[in-house]
Amino acid sequence: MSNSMLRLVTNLAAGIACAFLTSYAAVAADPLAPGGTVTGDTIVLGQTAAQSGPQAPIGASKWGLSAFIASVNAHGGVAGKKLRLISYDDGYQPAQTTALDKKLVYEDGVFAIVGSIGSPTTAAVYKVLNEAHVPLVSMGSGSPLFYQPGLKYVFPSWPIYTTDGKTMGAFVKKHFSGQPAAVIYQDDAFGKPILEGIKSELGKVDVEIPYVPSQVDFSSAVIKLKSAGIKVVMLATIATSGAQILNQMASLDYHPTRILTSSACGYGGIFDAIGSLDGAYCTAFLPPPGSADPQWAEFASAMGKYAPGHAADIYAAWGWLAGQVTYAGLEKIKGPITRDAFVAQLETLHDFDTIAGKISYSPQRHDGGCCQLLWQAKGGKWGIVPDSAFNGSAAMTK
Amino acid sequence: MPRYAVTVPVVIIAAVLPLVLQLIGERQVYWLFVVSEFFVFAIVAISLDLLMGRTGQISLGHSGFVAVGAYTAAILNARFGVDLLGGAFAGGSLAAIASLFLGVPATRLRGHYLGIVTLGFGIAVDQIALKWDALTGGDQGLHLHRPTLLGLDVGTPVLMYYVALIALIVATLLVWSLTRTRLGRAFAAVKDSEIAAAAMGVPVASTKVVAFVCSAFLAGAAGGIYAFLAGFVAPEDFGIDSSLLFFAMVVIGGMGSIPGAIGGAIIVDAIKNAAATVSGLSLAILGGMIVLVVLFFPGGLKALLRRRTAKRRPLDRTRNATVPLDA
Amino acid sequence: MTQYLLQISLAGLAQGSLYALTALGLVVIYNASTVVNFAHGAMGMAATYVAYVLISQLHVPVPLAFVGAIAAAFILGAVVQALLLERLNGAPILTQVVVTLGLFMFLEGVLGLAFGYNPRPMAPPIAIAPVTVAGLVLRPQDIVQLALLVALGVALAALFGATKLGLGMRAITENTYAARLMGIPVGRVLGTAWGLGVLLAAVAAILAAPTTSVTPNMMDTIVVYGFIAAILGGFGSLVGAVVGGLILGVIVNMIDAFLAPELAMSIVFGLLVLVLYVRPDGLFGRKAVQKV
Repeated sequence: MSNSMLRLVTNLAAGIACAFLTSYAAVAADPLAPGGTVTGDTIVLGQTAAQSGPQAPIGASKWGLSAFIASVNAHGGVAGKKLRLISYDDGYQPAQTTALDKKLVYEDGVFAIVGSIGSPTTAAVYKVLNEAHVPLVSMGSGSPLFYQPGLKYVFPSWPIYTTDGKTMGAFVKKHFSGQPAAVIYQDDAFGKPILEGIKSELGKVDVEIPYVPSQVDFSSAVIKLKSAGIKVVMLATIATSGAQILNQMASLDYHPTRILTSSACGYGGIFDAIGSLDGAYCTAFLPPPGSADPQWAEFASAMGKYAPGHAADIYAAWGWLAGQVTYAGLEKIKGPITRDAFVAQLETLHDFDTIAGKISYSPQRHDGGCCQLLWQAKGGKWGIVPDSAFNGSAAMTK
Repeated sequence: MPRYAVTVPVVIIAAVLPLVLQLIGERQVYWLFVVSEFFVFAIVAISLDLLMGRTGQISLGHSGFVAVGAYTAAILNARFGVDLLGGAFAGGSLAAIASLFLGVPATRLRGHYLGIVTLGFGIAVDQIALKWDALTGGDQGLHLHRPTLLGLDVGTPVLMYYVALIALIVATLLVWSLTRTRLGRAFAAVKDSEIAAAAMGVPVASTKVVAFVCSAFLAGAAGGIYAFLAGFVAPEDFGIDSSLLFFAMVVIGGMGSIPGAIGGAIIVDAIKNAAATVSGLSLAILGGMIVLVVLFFPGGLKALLRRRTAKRRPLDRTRNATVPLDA
Repeated sequence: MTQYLLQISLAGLAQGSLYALTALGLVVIYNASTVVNFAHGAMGMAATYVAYVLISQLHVPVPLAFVGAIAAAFILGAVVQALLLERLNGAPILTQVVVTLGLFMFLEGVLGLAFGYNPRPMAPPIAIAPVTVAGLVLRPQDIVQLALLVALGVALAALFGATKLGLGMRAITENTYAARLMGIPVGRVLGTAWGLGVLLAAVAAILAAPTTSVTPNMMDTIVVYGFIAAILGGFGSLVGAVVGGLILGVIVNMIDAFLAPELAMSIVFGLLVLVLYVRPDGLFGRKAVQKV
């Protein structure tokens, strides 16, 4: 390095050190998240949901939430204020979620983060949002992470994933006890709690097969189950992998009892994607698409009106559910609309009726939905299996 | 780098930017994060350029090194409370060690095989991070403590901004001075022609390995800083997608140039952020840009910049010439 | 147990035939132009979208739609060669690799923009129920896949061994300049090779589509295994690509069954690095002589 270079570097370093120390003294604490009180005539809500990449189908939640907000606004809004949604595509990448939630909270000034999609993506931000006192409502995940006590600003609305597994396990114990059973599960925070739930009801399963979402060929897994004489297969998988596994089973002339997790069977085209679906079961906390349930009918008609071109499927219903929970909290606020008032009102919800059944929160517990049941595929449609409901909250509050 | 006429104003602007951003109130939190993130990505781009632009070795799995660094820092911080400096150093060191697994076979691999093997490395790091959840937290990721540096709390957005800026300046100076050493000239010789380099007495194999190790160290250190900046690491963040982004930064910036790599990082980062609401758009734009750059602007951004500043160069020379006299 | 092993190997061969078809296309392109085509999977994926549009939006009969998609793949390959690679003749390997990577990103982005990322269904080329022979389930689709692989492999070998096109390709690989002097239409020969290579990628993608569904990312995993198969086979030998792909299919299935399916690709890459360390030119490759 030449002398001039050295001098330049020293000067620059000194300059930056000065700036550094000045700001160190000036900014002792974090700036608080803005927008704690709604002052204008709009309540802005933020969402991140994958619209690109392999997880894009579940990002359709965006359209259900948009439809809910449009229908609230069409009926006069909440407390004289309109709702507005800002939704970003995070591609299901947690680093993107981190950056985009900063944008939502600090740049766009949203009041709350609502209906964001995904376990790993929400795992990246829930602590930061909770510390910044920004409500995180009805995320698209049942990961046990978000049900921990002490997360004052975090309000999950799905039944926790272990309930999903327990629903399967209880059903198998009741109707197929003694038959060899197996689980194929995604090896992560989504699949593992389901496996745990299944085992907590069944005691043990005969074969457990983990997989990762990038896997495209499931023939060896299916052959393994077939050779082992497995009669009941439970699948804790996402939609694409579930379809591949069931298709692989049919092509290998293997026809066990099949039980899918709710995340794997919500999309509209499932009967096209899986030719052999008839007879398969699926856990659910929402009414089957096209059902006559009044909550579903209201949702489907709003989708047709406010989100034309987007299917009224389960993924869109997740967004609708997020809207319902948020609205319920906002509506009950008397006086200024602040984040703390919102949280306090959410905590008073008891057996609140949503499209996903009854939801309760309390200052001690933010458990969301309690119950799941089973659907069965028959003649190209899902129907509810009578007497298959499972209440997970009894086990949780013990 | 030594063109002070450009460098000095750029560094001064970067240094006072936070003071300007004070004007927009809390919104600065987001913009400081965006620019800090860009500083860290620029370090990765410089490190990849050291490998691709200076020694002609391709890497399609560079985010694998970033991941090793980020996880090392995150694990050390979450378990033992190691601070930012220690985390970045440890992250860089472990990434450098990991690079030996690639660098040593790389000496025996012909050009395009290396692309495929590095691609595989990126995928493998991802899968292992996901699988080894006792250590890495699996897909739930790992949260870090509030960052400290030599006992000082640097957890505010402004302070992390300066940490990232200083790291970028240090990385720039390191690479810039490295290219001026005997080793740097060996890199260039290997890039031009391995056989000619060997004939001139350059130890081709070890030179290539050293390039890999240096590049991986920088990328790993950047990963360590990134972990503290984001406060969270998860396997999905270091996939092929992000390797391709770093690759695009280097190609669009023009290989073999530090300002080029930084400029490429600005362009790619801006496109990625601006096109975030339309799925597929940023990928299409970046892919199209890479093709166009290779076909019509083989020197990338670097060549465009050089063409514009070329006229002023005689002036720079005379100014430089006077410095030693009064020094 | 033997039956279990046999069934797993059989499924591995079927899946391996997709890797082999992909690898075969890579090798055809590499042999003519010494370019490793990183856009290979994306180009096959784009052709599958052609089939998808023909079937579900224009209601063309399925076999005709496949022919259309394969023809489109050939044209895509020839056009990419003429528009992009032709201009980079004589450029360093790195530059040519970079341009195919750019094309990969571009194609995935553009198809994502046009069709979104929701998976689209694709009918299998044949839908016949499986038959059971001595306890082994034989899937008609597997047999078609393997037969197609063998037929295409033999046809390519004949094409390159006994026709002027093949002679031209070898002459170009040997020395492009001399080939041009000898009156070989270099552009047309390279265009044909790229067309054929991408055609093979399209065949693999269309065969894979019923299980992977049609998405912009559908070929990402398959093409990586295709690269590995081609490297194992020595990147240059047609037989090597076919054998490499089939062996890889069986190995991956064995890892899935007995080791750890969630680490399959990492284990395969570890093995690849080992193989390359011992034999830098693959299992079937000849030693390449470096030229200045």
